[in-house]
Amino acid sequence: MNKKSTGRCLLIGLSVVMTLVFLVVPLAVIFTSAFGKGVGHYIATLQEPDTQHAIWLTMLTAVIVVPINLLFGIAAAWAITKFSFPGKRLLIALIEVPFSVSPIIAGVVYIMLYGARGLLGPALASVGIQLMFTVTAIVLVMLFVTSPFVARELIPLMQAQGTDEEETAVSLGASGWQTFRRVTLPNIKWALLYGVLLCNARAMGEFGAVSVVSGAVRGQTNTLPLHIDLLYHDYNTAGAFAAATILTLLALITLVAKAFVEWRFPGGRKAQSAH
Amino acid sequence: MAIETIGIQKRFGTFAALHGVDLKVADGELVALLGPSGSGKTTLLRIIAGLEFADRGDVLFDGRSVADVPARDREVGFVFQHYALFRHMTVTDNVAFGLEVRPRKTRPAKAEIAKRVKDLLDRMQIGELGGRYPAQLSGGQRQRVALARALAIEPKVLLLDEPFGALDAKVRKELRRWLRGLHDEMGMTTVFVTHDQEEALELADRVVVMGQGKIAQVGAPRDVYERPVSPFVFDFLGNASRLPAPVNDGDAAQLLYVRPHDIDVQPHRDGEGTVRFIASNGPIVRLEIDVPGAPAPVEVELPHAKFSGLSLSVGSRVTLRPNGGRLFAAAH
Repeated sequence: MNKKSTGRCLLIGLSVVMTLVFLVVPLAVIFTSAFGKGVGHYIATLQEPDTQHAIWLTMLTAVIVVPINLLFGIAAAWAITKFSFPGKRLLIALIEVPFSVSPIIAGVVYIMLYGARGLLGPALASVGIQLMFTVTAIVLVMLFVTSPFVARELIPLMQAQGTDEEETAVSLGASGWQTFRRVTLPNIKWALLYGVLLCNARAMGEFGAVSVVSGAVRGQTNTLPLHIDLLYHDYNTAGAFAAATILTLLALITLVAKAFVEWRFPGGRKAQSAH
Repeated sequence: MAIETIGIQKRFGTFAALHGVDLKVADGELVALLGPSGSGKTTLLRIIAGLEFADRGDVLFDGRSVADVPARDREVGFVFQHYALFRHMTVTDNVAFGLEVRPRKTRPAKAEIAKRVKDLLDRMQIGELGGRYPAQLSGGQRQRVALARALAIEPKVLLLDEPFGALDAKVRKELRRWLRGLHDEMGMTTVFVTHDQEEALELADRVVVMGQGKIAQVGAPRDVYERPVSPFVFDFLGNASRLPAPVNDGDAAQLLYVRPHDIDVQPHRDGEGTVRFIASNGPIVRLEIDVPGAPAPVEVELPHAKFSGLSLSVGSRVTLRPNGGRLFAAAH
């Protein structure tokens, strides 16, 4: 064995150990702990109305948030990469804000804006609207936290692709919508799907911002991550882990979907940026 | 269709791309916009196509202003420098695009579209490539697909941005002749942009030389080549040697601009020039000669046979006799 391959073995070995310690073992713990009190207890936990509601609420909010941010991401990327206008750089910087701000700050900001003693809260309360501690509030902060994902995937790709194809389409008589649907969209669809998957994973897993604005009312404004936290603090470890398996499964499904995209269209994302 | 631009001005930020361009292109004419990069030629082409809008001035198609007509309604075929083929579509779908996106009322039937696309591809001599994707084509083939796609909408004007810029020298010459033939056959007004003087002179009915956002000269290729109106045009259309010209007292200093192959050289003991460099590879011999009063060493080109008869070497004294050329005031 020469020196070079020793080094290689060492690096590979290190990666494997790290993966085991930091990824596989925790995953295994989730599932063994969840089934720690037997399959019966596991199923019983999942059948609790509060848990069921948390699962349902998590899916519901993701189903609302992801399409909105899909549209926002496309619109922002389209505007930024296909047109030049004053304030473009500012817009690019603003899109990054949710990434650079801690989610919990996002939550606190929403409280300060829409809370009972916030800037806009009293005005809204006077017309009978209470935003904080409702599902609406959860959706709002999730929108904020996950807004950059789609745009961030699309902007570099669309910048690399330029505007020649769109301009050609227009000169051939295509309308704006035809140009988008027939030329732009097919060129960005894999990056778009990738952005959507990331956005979805983050929306379902978001804890910090949601925990500030939701109030975590069981059976009403409790998403899965919050529910897991509550169960855990109730010393219901098995229950917490049982709920965690569901969230983990949702994440794994996202991962599998992402892997499928990459397997089914090998180099698909790369081929889009190269001509 | 005739095209006219009147006083076109365009700025990009602080950069003035065009200042005051007046140009007339007659119906059925093949015109070259020739100039170095940054001369505004592509911007002018894009303004004609409606892909860019002038800050001032107007564009007329057959005498009617098209300032308010968006690009999609101008019926202009535009071919980009890098062709901009739709990479996710086959050649056939690329060419059919302009017909497919028409509103239902004016859109031909599917079979009719297929037939027209097939005819066009055959005419472009790429009939067998219909099922391929752009990534599977050579540069020359992409160029033909881009042309076919632009022609499919039966445009009244064909605009080409550096149509041969991305091709290698051999394919370039071949496609040039082919494009000329195509233009003569179809007879539509065609404007193309190029920075290659040879291409412009060989292909175009008329050449528009542009520099720094203005038209420097317009004329038939021969006119422009033989009677350049400024040192810039002279320089841009070919190699230029500059010789000091005799002036009377009080007159401004002048330089004689002359092509290197239009200078006759004779060895002479008291000649004004001194040979400083000889490159004798290839079919012609290139000399550089130091001449007092010339702003740079004077370049001379001689056929090999002639050069051998002169028995010149570095350091030889020579007389120079320019043949023709143009006098311009010496630049300051």
